[in-house]
Amino acid sequence: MTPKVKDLRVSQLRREHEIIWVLETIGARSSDLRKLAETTANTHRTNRDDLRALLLDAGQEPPPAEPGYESRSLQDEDAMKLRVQALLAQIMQIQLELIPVTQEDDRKLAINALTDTAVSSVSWGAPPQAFPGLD
Amino acid sequence: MPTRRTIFTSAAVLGLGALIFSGKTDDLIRAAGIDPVPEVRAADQEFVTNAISDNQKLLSAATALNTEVAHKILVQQIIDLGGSAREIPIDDPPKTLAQFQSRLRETSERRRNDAYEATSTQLAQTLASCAAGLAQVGHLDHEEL
Repeated sequence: MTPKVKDLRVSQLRREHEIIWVLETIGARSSDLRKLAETTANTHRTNRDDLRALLLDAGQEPPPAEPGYESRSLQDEDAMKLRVQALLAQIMQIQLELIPVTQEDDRKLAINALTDTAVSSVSWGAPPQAFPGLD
Repeated sequence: MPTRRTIFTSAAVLGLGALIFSGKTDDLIRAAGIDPVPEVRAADQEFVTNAISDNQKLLSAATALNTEVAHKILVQQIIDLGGSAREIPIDDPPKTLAQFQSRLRETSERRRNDAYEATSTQLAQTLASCAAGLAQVGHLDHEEL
């Protein structure tokens, strides 16, 4: 694993920790969004575990989750959706940056993960984009 | 962070730039006594051509089915990839929104495969992002199309 890939995976793992925490908070606060939050959180728990394993295999200590994340803004469903959309957009940017610095199966993984995250973002109300992850 | 400007500049000049680059490289390779293999860059150019023509076919279906959002996304992708927003009629057009979205998802999968095969890493990013955009439209609720 190159230093660049390691840095990107560490950055993604930090975002995965945050989005899991945010989704769990949303699930606790909104009955309407609970099911979607649980489904999305499951995907990101898998991402988190995969990233942790990849970093450990490369001899890198994975960053732990923070004790907590900003939650005061998560007061209504619009704000909740916007927060998830913003985090998914950050994850898409990292996934896009992984494509040119990875090879073979790792590149395929990044390409497919980008699509999965993009689809998830529209399920959280984000408008579709011509080129998700860019801009 | 990659920006659309840097990515599309490289993708849009891929055709001409690739030929120039390929020609110069081939000369160097020939001088070293090795047969050049120019097909690699030609394949990249074909990926861009295919992405544009696939979208032009989808565009005719988007127009027929009056899908405003899909139409807008398809046009933007075509133009940013260096094509023109003309429609290419297809023999078996999708008759329903569900069929249309199925075609969008199939096309997204083709773009992902091309992204994986692309030699240019910036083209790989562009095609992967294009695939993600098609998949988003392919998963919208019908009233959002």
